[in-house]
Amino acid sequence: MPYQEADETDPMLLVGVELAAGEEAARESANAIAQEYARMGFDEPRLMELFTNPFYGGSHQTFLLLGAEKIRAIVKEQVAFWSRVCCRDRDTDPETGLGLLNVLQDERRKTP
Amino acid sequence: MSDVYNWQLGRPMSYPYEAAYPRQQFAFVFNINRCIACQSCTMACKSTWTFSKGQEHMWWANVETKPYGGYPHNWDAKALQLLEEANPGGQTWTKGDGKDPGAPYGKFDGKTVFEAAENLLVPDSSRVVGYLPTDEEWNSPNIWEDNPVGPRGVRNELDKEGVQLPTHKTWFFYLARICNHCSYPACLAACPRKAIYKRPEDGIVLVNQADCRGYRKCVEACPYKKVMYRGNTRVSEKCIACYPRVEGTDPESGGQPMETRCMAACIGQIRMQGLVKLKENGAWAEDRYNPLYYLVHVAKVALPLYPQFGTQPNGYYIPPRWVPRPYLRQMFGPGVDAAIERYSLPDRELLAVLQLFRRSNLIIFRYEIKEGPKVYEGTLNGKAVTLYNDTIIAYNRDSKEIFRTTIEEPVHVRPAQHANSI
Ligand code: SF4
Ligand code: SF4
Ligand code: SF4
Repeated sequence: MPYQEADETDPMLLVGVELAAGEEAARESANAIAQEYARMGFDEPRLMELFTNPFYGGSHQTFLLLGAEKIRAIVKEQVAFWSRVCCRDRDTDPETGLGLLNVLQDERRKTP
Repeated sequence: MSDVYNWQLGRPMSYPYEAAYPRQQFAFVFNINRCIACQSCTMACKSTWTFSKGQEHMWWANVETKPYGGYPHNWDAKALQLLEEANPGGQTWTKGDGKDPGAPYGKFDGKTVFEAAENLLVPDSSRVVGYLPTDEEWNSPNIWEDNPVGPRGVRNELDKEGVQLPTHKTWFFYLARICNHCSYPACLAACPRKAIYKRPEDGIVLVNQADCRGYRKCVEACPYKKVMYRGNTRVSEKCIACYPRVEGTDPESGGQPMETRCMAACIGQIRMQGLVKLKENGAWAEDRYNPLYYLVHVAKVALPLYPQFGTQPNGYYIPPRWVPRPYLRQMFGPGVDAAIERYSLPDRELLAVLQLFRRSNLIIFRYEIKEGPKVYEGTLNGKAVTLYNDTIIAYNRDSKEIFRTTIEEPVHVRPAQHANSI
């Protein structure tokens, strides 16, 4: 808990101030988020969920600003590249007993 | 005052002492694009060095949310403001072509914390422009950053129903900081008792606890606010760069130079620390396959934090690419645009070097890349890109291999009975 109430007249305390983030910033954010999650093993549908679901405020903002088409293109591109350079230490799926990422990898290897 | 050369500013600058350079310099690179503000680094330092009585407010390693957060509060806005007041409208750069190794970012035309002191009405004993943060500014390092607040005017109580916060179209990033073990330390320059020294073997800046009398001139002078005063011992303390690890004298290190606690603890794998060789004139000696040399001087993706302060800090940052460029330029200088461009579309060598981050806790002195087959061709950020499954090998001080890693990483699946266990 903060020790005291925010003093709204204090110019040094910039709390929750909107700082313009235009299309360029949104595109960079979307690219960065897609890259990082692709590196953690997210595939295209899972990543799209991260953008379309309003629960994920930051990524959803970029979705609202750029639209589904642009976001899907970003996701596709980042997954195609970064899912190869990713952290692949994963738990086994308790239901199927299969490694979650193994499935993904095997599918990818099948597609030329 | 003497003239020393500051390559980050691309020009000589005045400094209270003659130039003196260590044989090697402690340096680090933080990739801000990957920091998640988990504060593991902060806690690793706290639990190792600053857990005692009188050190409660000390966070030698801290992570703050930019643009509004800071520890101590508003440290950078205040330091920049002091310089602006000393040299109104003059804190600007002349951008260079990046080819001159003595001025890779161009030339800084403004005043550093040392130069600004010369024309300010301060006592002669003040050699550096600075300020002493108040106790309140040192308190609660991440105040207002992520705090849930309670009902207005009621202390120590959170909202019981929960509140829906408005969505802001905003940007932010996490800035992890430790002492920069500067080449021209402002803390050292300001100490009237010469109690602060820079070690010749690794450039680590230390406060001699026996000589310090707690005048707090260093606390006032350090523009990064990385020296802290301890009330119960009445002396100042600062990050010691975990020197037993860097020396290889820590029992855990097995005699090999090892990265510091805050580096080793980094969950986001954003940190790499090492030792770089210096020439006699203080410039980095060419060491083409030292990963830090590569990131700072060849790929130029890692940039100093507020180089305009003039202390030639040895901490370097890969800037966060989603943040508006004017903000980043004032924070990391004019090298920002080229750095982001290269980081967003990494070439073959950069991609391999980025794989070195946090694969080992030993300091990497050299790397070698063994070329592998082409595995992907496509686009990234709309530009053509090719991926090769190269192998990168890291070597320690004695040229022994520490580890090797490929671009395409192998799959490790934990069996169900050991899920979520280490
Ligand atoms: S960051 Fe501050 S405390 Fe650290 S060496 Fe530089 S001036 Fe001194
Ligand atoms: S290098 Fe060591 S002493 Fe310095 S901030 Fe990191 S953990 Fe703390
Ligand atoms: S441990 Fe690493 S990822 Fe976590 S806050 Fe520190 S620098 Fe950021």
